[in-house]
Amino acid sequence: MFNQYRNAALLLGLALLPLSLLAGLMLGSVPLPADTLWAVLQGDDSAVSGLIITDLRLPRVLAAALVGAALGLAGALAQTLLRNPLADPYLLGVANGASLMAVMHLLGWPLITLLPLPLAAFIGGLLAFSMVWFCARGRGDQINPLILTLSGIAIAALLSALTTLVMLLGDQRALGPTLRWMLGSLAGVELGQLPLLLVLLIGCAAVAWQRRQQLDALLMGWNKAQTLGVNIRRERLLWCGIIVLLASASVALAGAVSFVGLVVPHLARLLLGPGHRALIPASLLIGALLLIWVDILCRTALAPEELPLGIPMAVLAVPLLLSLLRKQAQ
Amino acid sequence: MCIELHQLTLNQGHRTVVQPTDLHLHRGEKIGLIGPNGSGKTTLLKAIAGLHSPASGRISLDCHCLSGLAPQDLAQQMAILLQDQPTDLPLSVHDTIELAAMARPDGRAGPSVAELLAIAHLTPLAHTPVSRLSGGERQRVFLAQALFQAPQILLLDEPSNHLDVRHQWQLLQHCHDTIETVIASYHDFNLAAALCDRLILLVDGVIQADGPPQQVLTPANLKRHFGVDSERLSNDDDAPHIRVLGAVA
Repeated sequence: MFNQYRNAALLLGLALLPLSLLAGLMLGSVPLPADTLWAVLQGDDSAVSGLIITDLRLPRVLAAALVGAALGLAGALAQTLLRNPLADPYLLGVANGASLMAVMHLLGWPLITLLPLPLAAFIGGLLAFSMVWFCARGRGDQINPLILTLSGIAIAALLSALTTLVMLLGDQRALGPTLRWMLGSLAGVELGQLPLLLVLLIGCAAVAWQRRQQLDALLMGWNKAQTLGVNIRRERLLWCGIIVLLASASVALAGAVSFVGLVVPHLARLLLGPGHRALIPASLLIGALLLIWVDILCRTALAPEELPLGIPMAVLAVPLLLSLLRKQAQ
Repeated sequence: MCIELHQLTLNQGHRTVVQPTDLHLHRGEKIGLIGPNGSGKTTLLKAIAGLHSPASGRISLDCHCLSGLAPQDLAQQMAILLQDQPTDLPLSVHDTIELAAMARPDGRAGPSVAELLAIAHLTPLAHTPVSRLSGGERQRVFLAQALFQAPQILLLDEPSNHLDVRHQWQLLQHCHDTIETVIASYHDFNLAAALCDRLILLVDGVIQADGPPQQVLTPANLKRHFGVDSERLSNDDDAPHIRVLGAVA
């Protein structure tokens, strides 16, 4: 009975995805009717509407789907690995490390400007996670999930303070784009930037699906999972690596979009249960759908002005998260 | 030979909880570990399960050093019921027991999930999340999970915790009857005496007695190491039945 409901819900989500992508192409500061979209999809890209769809909206809506799916999956993995329902992919310091490097790039710091912005952010995320991992390591390479979480919070706070300092010392005219990047935005994304995240997402989702049983075992805690044959040292390195790769690549593309990785796994669990057989595809789908529609909201709510992704995400996600937590507490 | 401990020392932080110990545990034995709180029983069981690294010395399983065995290889031979069970596990009772399939080698005969649900009286709770169970029900779930591994060696850390009297006797008797080698820590002397053919008395990380229950569970040992006055109610040929008269004044 539950399996039938689960399969039906996943099929419904899968059907909603192309519809949402089409809506993302049609809706924006300039709404485009379906016949115009159809003509452009047939190859007629001569008109302005063709440029809007192929050059602006198509990369953007695809990027929203990819970033949403990547952060949804990374959030589900982080909550399982750390056995903490409040964990999100940014808890390992990734967003703050990426933000610091991106802000330094935007403010024209020497050497860092030699790298493309996405690559600088990606490296910042990886370096921050390396610091968290190093701080959390105990005697004999032992790692406690609580120490890992607290190290992540501490390093994130330090990097956040450094980011503020860099902003205060930097050129005040660059603060606008810097702030927009820190709150997340898909404006200006190009098709050529998407293949890296697409390949990473497919690879990471395939590994997670193939190891869903090990992920279920991790829900019991690291010690208990080990008694069922799970190689904890290997698994925690694998999952931390995957979380950091997905989060860093997402931040590099869309900036530090908050709340997606936190709220999506909760929604997926509420709808389809805690087992990873359903949680992995559900987190991918819900993450993609959520960010596509939040991006549409960002483009249309105050058109022609655009909102950063972080603002509507916070407005939508905080009440949702609080009501989910309240329901769980009851 | 089954499990050998060679000059094994175990630490918790800077505190030594098991002093250098040599011990041979043989295949087919039903062994009970007894000792007062903090005597090192749990740490010793965790070390045998590969969950606690020795400070010095080594443990070998069938002549292979335990530290060289992959968790998957160890899990195919050995299951452990830990003392602290996860209280917030969102998986259902059925799915939690079935998880142990990953540790059961292909083709090894063993009970089905449905059989274990029936044995542990959990069938009506099969689809209930483990997080909504009582302590005793949760203990039965993880005992059933350990049995689903169909291990050759079963380690039980205070398995009678939270269990009512019926389930203590029924489930633990089932474990001792169906699993080839059982090593369990007990606080209940009579349960240990009835279920085990060998008892090891561990005090402050040192083995003080090792032998059949009637040799280990003597009023003198219980007074000296547990601080209780007691009397034996059965003759020396049977499993001793101990009546504790009270704490030593």
